[in-house]
Amino acid sequence: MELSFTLNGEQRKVALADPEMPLVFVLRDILGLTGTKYSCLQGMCGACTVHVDGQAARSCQIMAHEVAGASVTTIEGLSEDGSHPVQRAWVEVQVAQCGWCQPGQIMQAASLLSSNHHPSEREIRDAMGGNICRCGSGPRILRAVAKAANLSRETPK
Amino acid sequence: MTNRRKLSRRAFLALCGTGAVVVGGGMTAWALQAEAPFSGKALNAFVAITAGGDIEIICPAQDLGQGAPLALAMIVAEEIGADLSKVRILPAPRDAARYGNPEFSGRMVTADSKTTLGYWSLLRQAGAEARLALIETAASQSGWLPDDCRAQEHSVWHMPTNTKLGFAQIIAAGHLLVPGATVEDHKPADQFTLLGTSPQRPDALDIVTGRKRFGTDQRPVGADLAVLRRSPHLGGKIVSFDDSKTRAVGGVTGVCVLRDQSAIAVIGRDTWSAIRGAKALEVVWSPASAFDSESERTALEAALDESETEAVILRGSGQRPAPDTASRFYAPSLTHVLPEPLNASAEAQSIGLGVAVQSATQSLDLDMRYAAQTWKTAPFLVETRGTPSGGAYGRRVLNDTVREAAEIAKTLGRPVQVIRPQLDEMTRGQVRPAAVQRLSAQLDARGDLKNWRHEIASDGTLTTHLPSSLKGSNGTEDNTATDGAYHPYICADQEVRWVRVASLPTPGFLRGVSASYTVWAIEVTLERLLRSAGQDPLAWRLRHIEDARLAAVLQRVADMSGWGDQGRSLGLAAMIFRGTRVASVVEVTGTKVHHVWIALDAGQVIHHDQLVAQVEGGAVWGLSQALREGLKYREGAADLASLADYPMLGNGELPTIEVSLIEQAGQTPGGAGEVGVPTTVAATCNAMEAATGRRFDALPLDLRHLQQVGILCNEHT
Ligand code: FES
Ligand code: FES
Repeated sequence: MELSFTLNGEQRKVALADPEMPLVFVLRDILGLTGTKYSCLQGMCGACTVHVDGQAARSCQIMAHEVAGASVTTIEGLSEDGSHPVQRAWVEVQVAQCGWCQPGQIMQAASLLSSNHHPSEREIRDAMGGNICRCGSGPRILRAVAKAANLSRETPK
Repeated sequence: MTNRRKLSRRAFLALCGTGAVVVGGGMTAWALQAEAPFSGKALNAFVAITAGGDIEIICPAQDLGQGAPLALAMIVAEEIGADLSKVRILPAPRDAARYGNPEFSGRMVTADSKTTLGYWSLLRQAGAEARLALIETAASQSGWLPDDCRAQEHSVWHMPTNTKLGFAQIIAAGHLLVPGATVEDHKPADQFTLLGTSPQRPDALDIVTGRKRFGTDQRPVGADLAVLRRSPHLGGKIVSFDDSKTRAVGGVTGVCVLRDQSAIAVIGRDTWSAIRGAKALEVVWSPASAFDSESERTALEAALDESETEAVILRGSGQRPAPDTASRFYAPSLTHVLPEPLNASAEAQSIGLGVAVQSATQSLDLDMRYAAQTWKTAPFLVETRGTPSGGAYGRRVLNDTVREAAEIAKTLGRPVQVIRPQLDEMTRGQVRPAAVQRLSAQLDARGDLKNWRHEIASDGTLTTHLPSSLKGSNGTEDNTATDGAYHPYICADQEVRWVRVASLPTPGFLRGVSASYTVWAIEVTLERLLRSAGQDPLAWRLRHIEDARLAAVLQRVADMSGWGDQGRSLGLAAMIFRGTRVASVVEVTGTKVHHVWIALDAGQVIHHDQLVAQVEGGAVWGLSQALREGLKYREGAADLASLADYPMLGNGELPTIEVSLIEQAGQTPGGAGEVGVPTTVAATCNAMEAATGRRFDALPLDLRHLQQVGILCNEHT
């Protein structure tokens, strides 16, 4: 099939042998965007989180044909220079250990903050609860999301 | 400035040119490898200076996410007086003679919380040599006395005149004098300005923008991707198979049976076609064994009961077994749940005589060994390259995907990258082996420890895979099974022993190793004993610990947590591990952990924030092990259909975790990566016993019954 969708703001057309190829592999193997990671491939860890039409989604659970016509944002499209408030907060709080899970964590957090500018601690925990960080950076992730919320309120849109 | 000794043989090798075959002593016989990847002029094996005055520092450790590259570079930069923004960190080539970790008998292994610990002296020496070279050269250029000079802010300062020469100016003037250095030349700790701070990691921006590239992200050009179909149960072999459906999958370019009949590799142009192809194989496997976690536990218990079983004596004479009244403790098998899949690529070199492997690895030396054995070639014909790892936790030491990649590339005659999906590794991969312990202790009338009997039964990871690494007086002690058993309390009559019981799952290294359960058994036994004797667990420990640094850590964690307040359910635990003194207090309300305090003394702090992050991460592991994790086997197979069958503590459930460091300026840094795990497991159990009045004899703590009968939040506050 020829998949046509918007990726990080650009129109893309990709020829695919299997329309059921999970989006994460379309991104990584076909388009070379390796910023999106994967771990469980079962929708249970959040490493592969991207935005589809503005919503956080597990790209290992979405088949290529399902994003036809949709708009997909990956970590590469959040900001190239790390200027998105969530990325800035992540750097300031020194969240990352190995870093493998972090693109997914960041996309998850960015999606929370795009719909909720004043998340409570409970809401942050709930939103981030499905993203695993095996290195144990969880305490910092929670802090960084709160910080990002502050930063995004300060940053004029 | 006379009589200076240059950085041993290592520095000499760096300076005497490259490409030579270096025959070293000990385990590492070969080191024919590329030269150090410096672009500047080498001052020794670890440091070079570029024409522009930048300092290049070799990082001998792998980047596993623990922050080793920056931490190790900070040690060197501190000695030199270099500005971190003008430092470039370069990965070491595989050359154990120069870059091996002295704590690993000189091998290149990044594991066991021994990286900073092992390289500390060596890197200070390397830095001191570089500093003295810059000072000596600047002094001779300017007519200064070297003793009047100091190196700081990337310059050599002449103190009497307050003038300076930048490193770039010094190197621009030409020839560098290299006077060498002795231990006395190492910078005094009271002059440290960089160590103990928290500079940003060089890869921080790459991580948050998705640009950091791990092994899985770096498939070599021209390599297809292989995924293995392995037996659903442990030890299964192929009886027969049909690959017609696999070959019909678009993108599949090959199918290849592994020599030992344990797996079939499906090679595809991309990850998805290989995964789909592997799934489409129809395979008949040899039958599963009856192995399960219950029978394994029974075998471990039996090994303790049979007095004939050969035991490794850790303390005492081995003559006095634990009485039948001893408490028993069961710890289940654990799996790593690696974030980044295991991965390795292999490609023929030198007209097929040799092989180049690339992997997210913890050991270039072991990768080399695996590749050489599989390719049937000499070690010097194996090129190894490490990439950053998305998590490692001990799993990438015995990095067996390198074997698979080498075998498949050789069979197919073309380069290949092997990816092992997470669930496949969890189902059939290495585990922290299960253990049963028996422990009894008594207090005498004065409240001192009268006797101590601790017996441990488990499989041994080193015993199984690397028997030449065993330690102890008889060369039989496997520290992956005995770590943590050496408690710090005064007691004249002690017996501590370990019995190895070989098991079916493949034993592996896992963050915290045996200390996660030995310290649990020790600290829980102690706290039960003290509580029933009406002794305060903190005060008693302070009286019965000889190590003043551990006592200070205990006092610190007690102060942080408000130990001694009435009406709170607090649990305490302490240990010394890889030179680090650490103590945890956990507070439980109902059956919920809501606060963890950890104090530690890890000697000289290198990177403050990364050290804290490592300990926080360790605490998360400790909580998860105490409350959730356990890999069960049934009918010869891991009882796992998905990641959901291996519960872990999630982001949403984390209690507040507070870490406090007691810094010891200039002291050799202790371990960091694992130290947060064991005392957190133990303190969680102690707090839970204090809160519920129950005794727990197994991990993870079984709280279901308590939750059903209504011991819930707030009842105990
Ligand atoms: S890889 Fe998609 S959720 Fe785990
Ligand atoms: S930083 Fe390693 S898994 Fe999250």
